[in-house]
Amino acid sequence: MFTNEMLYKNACPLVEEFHIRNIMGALERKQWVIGATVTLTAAGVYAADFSTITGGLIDRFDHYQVLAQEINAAPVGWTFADTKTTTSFIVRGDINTTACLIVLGVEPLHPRSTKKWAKDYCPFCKSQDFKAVVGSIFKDTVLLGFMHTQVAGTDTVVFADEVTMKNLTGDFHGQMGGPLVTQMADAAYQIIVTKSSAGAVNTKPYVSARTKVGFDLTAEVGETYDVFVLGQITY
Amino acid sequence: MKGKFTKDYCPFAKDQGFLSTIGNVALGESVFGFTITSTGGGQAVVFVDATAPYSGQSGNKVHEMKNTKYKIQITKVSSGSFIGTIGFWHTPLKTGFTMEGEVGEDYDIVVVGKVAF
Repeated sequence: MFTNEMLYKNACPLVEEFHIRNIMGALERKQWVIGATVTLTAAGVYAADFSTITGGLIDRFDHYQVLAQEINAAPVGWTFADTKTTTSFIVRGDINTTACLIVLGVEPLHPRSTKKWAKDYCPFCKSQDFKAVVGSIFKDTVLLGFMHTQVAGTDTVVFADEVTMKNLTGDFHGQMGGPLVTQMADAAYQIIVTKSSAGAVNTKPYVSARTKVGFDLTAEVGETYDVFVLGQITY
Repeated sequence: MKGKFTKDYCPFAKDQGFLSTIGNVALGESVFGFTITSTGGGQAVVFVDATAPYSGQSGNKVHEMKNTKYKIQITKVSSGSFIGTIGFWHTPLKTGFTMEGEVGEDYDIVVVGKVAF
């Protein structure tokens, strides 16, 4: 059993090569996470197709989940997706707004594809009970999730303060207790927020002012929110 | 950077046609998702039921998470504008959580956390 981050670096060349700190596990073969930042039309829609989002690399998912949320301005309505097909879906929301999309999708398996899982090849994956790992169309991309408790109407959320092992998991698991993300490579990351405390949603949460080191979150004081970020970390 | 892709190191990635893989910052977390239809206020979502095997595959059920520190995102994926309830969740348990949504609407849910088995 591996016990600390240094061992993982030694065990898995991806961790050191791609500045990703760790690997994201998966439960299915050929599962991808892709993201895009799009602008809704004057009619408040965006027709998303996988081929366009991935630059032609993926044109079809067997099944998938889509996360969609407006950023930069207070939502009047609320972003959602519909008309899901294996090749596309439609995002609906406020007119002319910017929205982040994150898709967790599984491509159809080739009839003669290997039946092996990542854990069959890799002691790192086996030690973490990962059946598989998640595909990406970009190098260096990380999906990270953390929780934030809102202090004021608009909080400036700083990655270095929020993305620590203590916040992420409640324990350190042999890793250093300091910040795990100090800075993103750029401000073009996708971000999705969902309220994760009891009580109705009285203020529609939204993200604005994305920078390399953090972002502004406008939400309800005292409530907790789960945040997903998909992008490249610098360190 | 040595100009290599994940597939150059990882045989599983090569098997699956992945040029690259998604990284993480936390140790031992997996991502999984499912779609459920909301039955209204205080719906108990149980992982083992919600993550039933997909057609033609097996063994992808999540029975229990290692802890309750997992993170969840929810997006409505059925047609029709929001009437009043924006989907959110609370009360995390190792075996599931409580979801609030609009009755009869479909929601895509993505979970990031440590899967126990």
